[in-house]
Amino acid sequence: MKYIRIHIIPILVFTISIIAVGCTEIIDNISLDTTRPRLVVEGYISTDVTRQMVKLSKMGDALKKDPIQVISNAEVTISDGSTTFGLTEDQLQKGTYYTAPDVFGVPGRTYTLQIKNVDINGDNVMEEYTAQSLLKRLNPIDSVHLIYNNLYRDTNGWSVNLFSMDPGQGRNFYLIKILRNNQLLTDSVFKYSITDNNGFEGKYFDGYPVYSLREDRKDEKLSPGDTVTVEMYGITEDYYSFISSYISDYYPKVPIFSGPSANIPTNIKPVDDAVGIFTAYSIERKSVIYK
Amino acid sequence: MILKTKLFITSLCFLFLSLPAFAVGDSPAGLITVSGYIKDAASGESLIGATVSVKDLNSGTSANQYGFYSLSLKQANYQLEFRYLGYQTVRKTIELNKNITLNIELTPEESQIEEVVITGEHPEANVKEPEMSISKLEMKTIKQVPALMGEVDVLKVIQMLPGVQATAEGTSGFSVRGGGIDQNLILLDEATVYNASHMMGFFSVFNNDAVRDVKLYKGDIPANYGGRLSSVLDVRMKEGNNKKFAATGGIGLISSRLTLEGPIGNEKTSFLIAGRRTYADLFFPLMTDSSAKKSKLFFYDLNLKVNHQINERNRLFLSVYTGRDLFGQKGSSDAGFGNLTGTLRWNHQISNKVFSNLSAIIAKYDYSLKMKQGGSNYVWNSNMSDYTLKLDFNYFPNPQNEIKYGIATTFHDFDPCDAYIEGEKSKLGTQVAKNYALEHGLYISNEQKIGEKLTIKYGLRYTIFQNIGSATIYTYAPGTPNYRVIDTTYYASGKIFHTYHGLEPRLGVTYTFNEQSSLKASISRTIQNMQLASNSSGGMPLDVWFPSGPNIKPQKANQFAAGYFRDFANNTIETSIETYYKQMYDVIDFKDNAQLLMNPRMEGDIRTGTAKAYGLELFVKKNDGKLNGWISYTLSKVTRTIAEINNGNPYPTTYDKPHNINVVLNYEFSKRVILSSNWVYATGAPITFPVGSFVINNTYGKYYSARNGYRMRDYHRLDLSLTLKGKERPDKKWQGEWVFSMYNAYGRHNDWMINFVQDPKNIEKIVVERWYLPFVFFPGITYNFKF
Repeated sequence: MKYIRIHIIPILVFTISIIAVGCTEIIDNISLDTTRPRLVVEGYISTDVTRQMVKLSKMGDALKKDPIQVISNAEVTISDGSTTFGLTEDQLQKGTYYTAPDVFGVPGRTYTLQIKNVDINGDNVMEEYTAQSLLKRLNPIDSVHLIYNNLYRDTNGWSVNLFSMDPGQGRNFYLIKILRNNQLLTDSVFKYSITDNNGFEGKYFDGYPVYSLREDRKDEKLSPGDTVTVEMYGITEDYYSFISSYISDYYPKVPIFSGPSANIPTNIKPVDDAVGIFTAYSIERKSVIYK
Repeated sequence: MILKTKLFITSLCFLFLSLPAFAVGDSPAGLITVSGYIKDAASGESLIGATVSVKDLNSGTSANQYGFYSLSLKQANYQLEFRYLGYQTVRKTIELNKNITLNIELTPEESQIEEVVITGEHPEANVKEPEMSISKLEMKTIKQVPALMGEVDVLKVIQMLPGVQATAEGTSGFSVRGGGIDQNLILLDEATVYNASHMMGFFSVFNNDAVRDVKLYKGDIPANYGGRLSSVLDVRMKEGNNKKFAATGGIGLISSRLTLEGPIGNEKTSFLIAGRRTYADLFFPLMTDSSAKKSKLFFYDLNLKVNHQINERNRLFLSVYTGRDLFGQKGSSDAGFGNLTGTLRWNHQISNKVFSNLSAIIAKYDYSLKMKQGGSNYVWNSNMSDYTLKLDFNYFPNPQNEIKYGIATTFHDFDPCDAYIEGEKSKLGTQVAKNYALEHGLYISNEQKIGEKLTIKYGLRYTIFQNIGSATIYTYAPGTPNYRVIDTTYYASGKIFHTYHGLEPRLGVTYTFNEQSSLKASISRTIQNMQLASNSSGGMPLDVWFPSGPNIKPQKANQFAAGYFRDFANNTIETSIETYYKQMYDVIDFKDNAQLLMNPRMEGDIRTGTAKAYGLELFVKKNDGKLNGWISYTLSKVTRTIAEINNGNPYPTTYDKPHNINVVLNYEFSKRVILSSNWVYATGAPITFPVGSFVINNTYGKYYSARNGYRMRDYHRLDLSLTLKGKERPDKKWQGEWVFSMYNAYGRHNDWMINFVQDPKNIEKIVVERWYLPFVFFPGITYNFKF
């Protein structure tokens, strides 16, 4: 039900912006402090049988004047307590590390990421970073319906409605990604749709709208024969908080609505020396052909 | 424990209720009482705070909130002087040999014929009244201050007083002496107004034509008020003219208003009805933007007041306020929010020396949103209600003492969030459980004159706050990253499951050197049990209030203030210098990235700590003459220290603006042409800027410095207005005036917000944007009339 919260606030802001419309100017000469460099981690392990990925880079200046500096030659491993998978750096995409192609995560297990042989602060002493994540269970998607109607205002399109059973047993968190003809539409964090099971713990998602495909967008407009795939991710609370903070930080702040700017939480330890996320998740997919 | 508390409360109530009997019986030997009401001769409105002084005795009193005064003196002949700022002084010689009732009507100075030169007799209330850290505003003053779009606004004028900071441009939120926007008690005829803003704060809920009296207590808060840490804004509605039918109104660029008042039958009953509506949305269809064409955006206010004098000793008042903002877009969203307040009061004069008032009060705030998304209608409702019974007594035993005591009980009913998909409520929904609380207050205070120069005001307030079922209370594990819930407790309906209580002593001392100067000092403790879930700088309509309880302690503050007050030039120039130090405990802030809405576990996102505020306030005010107005300067600092915010280091709050200058000047070219101006200057507000960046999955992420580690540019703005009044003639009933205003007259682009944004088309590019409000060289025109 976060769906409402995440979507209604921008609409409110929009309505209010009728009062305060269009008054922005670019500031060229802002002076900002710099901070000591930190490790940036983006790492995932999913239930898919695939090359699991970890990306490492170095935090840059606030205005991104310099290109991203990737971190090479790190020793990266992911372990589930009994088995340890080594990751090797891709020689074409420096800073990106992969497991062997046959690795997959198992629901219920806790995964530990370990990063060694990196020296971010440049003191010639190698540092070590770790993170942990539980791989949460997920029930299959029973079906996906596409319903054409008026989405809002003048915009028509397709509501993507999902049918599935919440696994219950406390709080669950979901991330939804959408593909059209195998093309990922939700390709950036700020396009992600997330929700929790607040109000329907252990209940059935009986046609819960998870995404709207807008007819006026070229990449979202459906033609007969198109395939729409819903990817439902069972995620941890850490990853959920990470995405929700990331999205709210991405959008501009408005004094009336926004709280103070704050760092996006991280589960990488030591927390003072790193940013980013390492997370495990289950994935369920369901496709539907638009007729 | 609960039984003991109940017994204690019962015995206190008994004690309090038996006090009037004691008071009536206790008449010091040899004293005879003169008492009555002081009113406006033209409208019959009570003159709150009008003074009565006994010539030759250097003693006197002032009228209470209902215009009632009582003076007990030895048998003799006296000359009494009745005074009120802006009114002609009335002198009466009385032969006091038995208790007498003397009702006085004062004539406003402005209704004198022009040839009469005002002799300039001004009360030295600023110096002599044993109250400090208070600002009283006359409606005439408020109406002269230039306003955005000509919409004169009480709260915007409040923000120009020393010790008061606007939280962000355009908002109604204000910070008093370093307090938060949640720490102001805003009262309209004794009823709490939980959200005093319209249109996100660009306008306030107060319709000036319906308001009679505005007082802001910044410290030295009298014991009869309780519930907030930092200030009380006491707004009183007009009672309604009981002499003749009158109408007041105005037509402006974006709103119009009309107030009708008059007697019903005879002078014993009068009414007032005032309405206001904005119509900016009427222009939307003319806009080119298609979404703007379908937008709805307006608010309305309705004030109603009826009062009836049953007899000399009994009077009834009924006041009602309702106002609502409505906005949305056709076929997409529909939203509304608003306040409803109602107060029924019974003034009863128990004896010549004891005045009582019983009030039954209701205060509500609610919002509802409906939006269409993906073909479904999402609905989100929230509301809260207060039901209060309040009994207050004023006892005037002799000119040396004025005792006030009373009791109040409020039932709070919170329904923070009920969200669902329309037609499918049973399937999906987010509900934050309803909860309830009882708040009781008992107080007693005395204002005692010792000799001719010293006045001491001392009081004590006792507050009890009880959470009652039904309720669902979570137990959190502090120290865990997100304060995980480790236990859930359900309480049955009607069960009192948690109680806080506390004493709030208040003490003030005034030493009057002479008619022109005095020294004042005060110390006070305040407790706040109602908390606001808001971490934005301005406060938004979706903010919800919630009670203290097992997880959240009440906020507490101790404030010390001292000041020197001096009047010059026959009291036409008032000056003051005040300094304060305020220490606050258990103040509320929110963890990074807190989720305050639709979150049943919202209390787990709250972090508490201490705050410290101190400052110096200089104030010069010239009341009359062709050139009048005020200048204020405030030097202040406020920091918070909260264990899990900013690594436990002190940080400035968003309204910490060390230097603040306000200049309000009016120049009367003639009786018919007045130029008004105000200039505001404040140090730039603290803001958090990024010091590092990273990219995850194509999205720019920011790494921030210390909380509020930077400041925006200094803020300053000049507003102007020109009032042209029509000719007044005794035979002409209609009086009209044109007000032309210019907001932000030198067109400064003040920083409203600074944002670091990723260019959506080029991820590699970050731009820093200054957001400023479009009110640059912004004109307004209003036509005001009365007849």
